[in-house]
Amino acid sequence: MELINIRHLLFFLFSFLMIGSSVGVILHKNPVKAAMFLVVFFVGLAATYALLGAEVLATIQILVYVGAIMVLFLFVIMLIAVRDENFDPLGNNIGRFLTMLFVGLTFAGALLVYQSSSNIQDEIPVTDKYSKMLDYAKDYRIEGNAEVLSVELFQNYVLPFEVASVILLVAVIGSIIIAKRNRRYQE
Amino acid sequence: MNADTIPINYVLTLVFVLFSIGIAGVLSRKNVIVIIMSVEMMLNSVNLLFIAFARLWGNQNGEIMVIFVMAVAAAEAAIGLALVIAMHRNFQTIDMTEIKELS
Amino acid sequence: MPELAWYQTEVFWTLIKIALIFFILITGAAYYTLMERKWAGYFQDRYGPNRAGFWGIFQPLADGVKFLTKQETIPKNVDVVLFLIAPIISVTTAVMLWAVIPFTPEIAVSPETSELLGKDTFILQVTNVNSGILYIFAISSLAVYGIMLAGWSSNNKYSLMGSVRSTAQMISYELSLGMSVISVIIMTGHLDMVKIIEAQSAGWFLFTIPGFLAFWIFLIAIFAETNRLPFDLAEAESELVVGFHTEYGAFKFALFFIAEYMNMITLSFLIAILFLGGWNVPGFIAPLVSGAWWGPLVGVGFFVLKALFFVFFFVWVRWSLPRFRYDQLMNLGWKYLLPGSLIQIFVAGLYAYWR
Repeated sequence: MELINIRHLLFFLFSFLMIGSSVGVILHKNPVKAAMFLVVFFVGLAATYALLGAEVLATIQILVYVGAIMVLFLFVIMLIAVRDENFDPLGNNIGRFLTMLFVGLTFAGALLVYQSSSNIQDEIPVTDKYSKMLDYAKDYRIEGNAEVLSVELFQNYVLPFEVASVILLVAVIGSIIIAKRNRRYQE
Repeated sequence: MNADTIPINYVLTLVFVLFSIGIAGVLSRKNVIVIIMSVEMMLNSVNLLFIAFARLWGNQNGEIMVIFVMAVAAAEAAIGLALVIAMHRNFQTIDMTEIKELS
Repeated sequence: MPELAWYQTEVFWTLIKIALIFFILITGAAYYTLMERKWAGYFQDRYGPNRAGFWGIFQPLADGVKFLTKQETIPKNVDVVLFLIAPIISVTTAVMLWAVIPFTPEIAVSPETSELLGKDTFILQVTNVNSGILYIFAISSLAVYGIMLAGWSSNNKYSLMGSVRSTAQMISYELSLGMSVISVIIMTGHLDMVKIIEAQSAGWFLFTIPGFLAFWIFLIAIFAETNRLPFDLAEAESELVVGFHTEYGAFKFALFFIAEYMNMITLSFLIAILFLGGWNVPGFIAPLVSGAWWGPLVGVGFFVLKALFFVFFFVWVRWSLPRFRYDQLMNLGWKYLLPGSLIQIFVAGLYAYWR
């Protein structure tokens, strides 16, 4: 058991899943299949969050993204966009190809710069419990991610929390108004 | 490489790759809904970065930021899809390259 | 740290628990189909199926053989991958919900057994995540995909309409479902399923004021979540051909069928955990069984009895009430249940503040 490190193995497995499904999202012609690949991407991402120790955020990710946002995407796709898209392969449009090459090279360059200049010994402690990492852990009986998030969120970040709920309310009202049919001007 | 840790470089490489795949998706697709999906992919890769660094430095601000990014991304996806519906009603197409005029 | 043998690791015992729960669940869902038909018969003053064995005991077996030996058809212009994945998603999410349902508290075992187990406590729950309730909501929102993909991928207008209606109904009632559980969470202070049940040892949450309001909202919402009468417009036999699973034959239909009954059993157990006290026994029995080794089994027995009452309640309501029309259904979900659950979150907050 010394040769196989189960956490690294799981991390590689999940990252393989994520990269594969994200390539599937951008390359697939049928929008419904692209949306299903994005669902697989979100599930892989939630698994990675759980591996890194944030299990409540993993479940919230599945609840919010997979359970609500992707259902909304699939509804809109099914009712509006059922045609297969015919996009030319990358080689035909030279401007697009050059743009994507440039973006890819920028990111590869940024990654190389980071790798050469940083302290490569930085590692994420995956098995430390929150009760060992934080100094206010004893005051609040912190046992896991849920307690940590709620202590931080409702003590130090109450105002952004309320603002976020106002943003969501505005989004709900706005999307209903934008998508509504104007009966006065059409009928 | 300890059994209890994951090197930060693995996570950074993964986030870079996912973000650039998201950008490639935004730049190369014509269907508006797939473009919005690629934007969501970019936002989620940044979420992963926040969580990894929050765990690295023992500072839970990263995880709080993830909650807010999720909330704002949800709001933005809802409004984006409402705009797509309105666009479909007015132009009868959802192809980005066919909308070239202002009316 | 002493080296653990292969039968002492946690992985092995978790696999044993997974296999046990899986077999019990499949048998339970199969016999639930029989019990529904028997009870339906008795409500309608006739016998249910009683030909296949004494009292119809072998009827689920006969149904299983029928489903397995029918011809599998795939219609012509369907999207084959999504068509085949949809029943798999339904069944997988229905079974995955059982990973966090606890049957016993954490029992301290005798030293001989702890040698066998590798540690000195035993809990009859597959895994104990800290956020059990959130996991349940996340997985039940995944169940929507089975229905949506089934309706879309069968190349059939009626399936699409049935699945769109069913999906909209499920996501609308998920909101009230989640928010009505918030008052239970406020009253316990934890998201852990075991701690929610332990907090009810002084009295069920049904008998507290916010818990009582939340119970009724939760009860109505679970009928809508499982697409069960009075909310089953999307799959009623006379309304929309059969709804989203029109094009599904033999074994794929059996998977949808089993997934629906498993969901009903799971939600009955969930309502017994959240509002009826789980494995807490009544006060006069507790001193009698506290010391013995079969004490937790009595708790499991009471738990199963409470859940079986709701299992019966599902069938009772189905064969007694008429069906809602679709706009009445959405009206109820958005205009009555959602403000109701917001009000009872408020009541729960006041209750927790003044206790």
